[in-house]
Amino acid sequence: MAHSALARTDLEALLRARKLDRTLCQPDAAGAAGRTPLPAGKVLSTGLALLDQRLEGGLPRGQMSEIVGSRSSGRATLMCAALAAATGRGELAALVDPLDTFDPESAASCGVALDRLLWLRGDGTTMGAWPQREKGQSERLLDRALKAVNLVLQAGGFDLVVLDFAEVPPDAIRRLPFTTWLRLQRVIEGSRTVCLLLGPAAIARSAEGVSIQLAPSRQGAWNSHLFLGLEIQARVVRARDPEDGRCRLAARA
Amino acid sequence: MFACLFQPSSQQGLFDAAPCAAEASPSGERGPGRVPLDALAREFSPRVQVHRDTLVSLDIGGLGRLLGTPAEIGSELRRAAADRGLHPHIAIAPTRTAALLMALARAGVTVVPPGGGRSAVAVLPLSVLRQLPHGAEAPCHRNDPPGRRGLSSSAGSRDAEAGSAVVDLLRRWGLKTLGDLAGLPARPLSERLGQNGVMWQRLARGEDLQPLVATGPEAPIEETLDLEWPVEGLEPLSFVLARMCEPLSERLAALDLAAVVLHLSFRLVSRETEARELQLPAPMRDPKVLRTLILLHLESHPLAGGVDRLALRVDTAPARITQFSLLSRARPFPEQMATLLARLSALLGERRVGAPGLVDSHRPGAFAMARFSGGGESAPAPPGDLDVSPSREPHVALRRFRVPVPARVMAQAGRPVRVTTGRCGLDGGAVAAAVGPWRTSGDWWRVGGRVEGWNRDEWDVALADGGIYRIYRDRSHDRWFIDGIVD
Repeated sequence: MAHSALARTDLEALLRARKLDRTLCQPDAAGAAGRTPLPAGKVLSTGLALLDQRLEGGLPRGQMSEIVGSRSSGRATLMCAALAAATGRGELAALVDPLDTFDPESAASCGVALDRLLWLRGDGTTMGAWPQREKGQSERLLDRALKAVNLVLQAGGFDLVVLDFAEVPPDAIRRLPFTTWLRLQRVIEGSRTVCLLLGPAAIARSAEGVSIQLAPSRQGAWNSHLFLGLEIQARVVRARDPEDGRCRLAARA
Repeated sequence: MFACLFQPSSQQGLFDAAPCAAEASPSGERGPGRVPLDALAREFSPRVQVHRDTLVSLDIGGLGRLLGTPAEIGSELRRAAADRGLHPHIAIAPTRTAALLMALARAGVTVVPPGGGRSAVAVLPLSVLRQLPHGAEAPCHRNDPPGRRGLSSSAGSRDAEAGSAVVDLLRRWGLKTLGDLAGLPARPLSERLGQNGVMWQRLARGEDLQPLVATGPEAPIEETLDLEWPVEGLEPLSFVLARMCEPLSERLAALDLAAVVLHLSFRLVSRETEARELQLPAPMRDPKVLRTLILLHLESHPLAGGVDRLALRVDTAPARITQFSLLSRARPFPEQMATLLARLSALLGERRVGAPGLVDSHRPGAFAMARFSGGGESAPAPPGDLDVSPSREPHVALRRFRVPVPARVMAQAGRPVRVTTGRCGLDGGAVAAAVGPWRTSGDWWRVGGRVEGWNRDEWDVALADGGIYRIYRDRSHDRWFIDGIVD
């Protein structure tokens, strides 16, 4: 027994030397002891009470998390809610928006403090949608967005950094080397920053990050005169938690 | 303790002429043979305030340990001035105002003992107030170019005019000395002359209205480098810039100043000169940061050719003092933020980096880009993470196509029933639900300008592909567009 304990200590020391201790050594508190909310300083609230409850307090800091779902499933709504919560607390946030689809007016109505949001716009404006014609244009677009995210994360000081690939085709995202995400994860490891990816399908999340998977849109709630809002069905997926946390949110128009 | 040095003009009567106007030439430059007193004053103290070319005051607190008593300091000042060929009036007093008054009125070295300021100035004639740069509201700024110095002189002239008017009035009241004015009851004086009267009375008592505002040396802070061989490209230029930024930064540190504007001048091999100006978001003097910002600027705006001469001049401001708080969240340093923004601007373009802002318009999708400052240094930051209570119902957000996507829309009875586009990923389909139209128009009154008006009917539609879109019909051209995606 003493021998195995020693081996474990050695293994943990080696992992610590390689700076992998945070990822591999920490016990899975959530899995072992049920859903205990993490301390407030360890998580970043999404601004939605029900989702925070499923997330055990919020998005884990120092980790990459993601929101994935199809069009009109509520990705931008959740993003704006998280940005509003972060900027409302006086924190700084950054949004890397390669296709330039962020709408400041809509975000302001969601409660985002725009003066605390660093908006990095890609040059997808002239395309209106994902570029197809010019060869290499899409790769250049993604490359610049990833470089921008890397710069922002390395600079530090931002509590929430969002990379919005929601309207980027999954094929284009899959062509990116997976080491890209590992590199970004290493940059924020141990910091207060949450890197949040938005995509049409699962992109990458760190071992302790979370995936918020949104069910396909049910075409919203309507009456004869008005679009009333979206019904967002979120499923929280963790790497080490066999139980998914599900919640249903209503977003009003 | 304060000392004041006053170099009277040889042509000038001591109390009768308008001093400020006489001491500055119309161009604001010094006359021939005039040696500034500030250089002399700076040999004794780093805290020097230059009121005019011929009038400076300096803080000599702590100088006693080095030079001795105030009288000895005065003698030392006189000796140093004589070495430079100057014979200024020198006064040392507990307050700056008393020192100024004594220097303006008395030749030689005058030393006022602590606590004796009011009694010492009481015997001086009222006319000395004409020369006093009262309150030092218009000091010559340390970095004012010669033209600005003229402005300071004109401000001094206004002070002198105001002083003359008050002195004339007080003389008509029968007052002759500062002691007479100082002895008047404050309330009736305030009733007759207002707060200005009270201010003049405080000056007549030798009281300071403002603390000494230290000013820096007037020599421009700049570095110039002539290269034997022209350099091209950013990498060799970075070494050259490092050689310029480091000594410049050391000079700024010695003066406790920081750069706010960088003026760069590049002489190209084609004999043309390119001038650049970098506005820094906050005063800074870290040579690495300055060099990085210059390089990033040059990366975004390349030079036309090789460079064989560089000049770097800085506009300065007092160095920034950061007071950290235990209660509010720490902000990134302005140097870090400026470097980050410069790097991002070089990567994405200057107009694509910043903080989004709303504009006062009903135009759909209108926004502005502002410089990102992180909400300002004084932005309130709640101490806890859960001070903003999470809500239950979020607002729906919209993704907006910055350039609306043209769409083909089939309509029945004015309502869209099918929407398709030619864009990949926006296939569209049959309309499952639609509400509208919401009619908006604006800017139609701006005929012939660069801003086009809009006139549209908006619809929110749910399509068979699962998406919810905002589409609109441009009523002016009868064309349909997809404006955004409800997401």
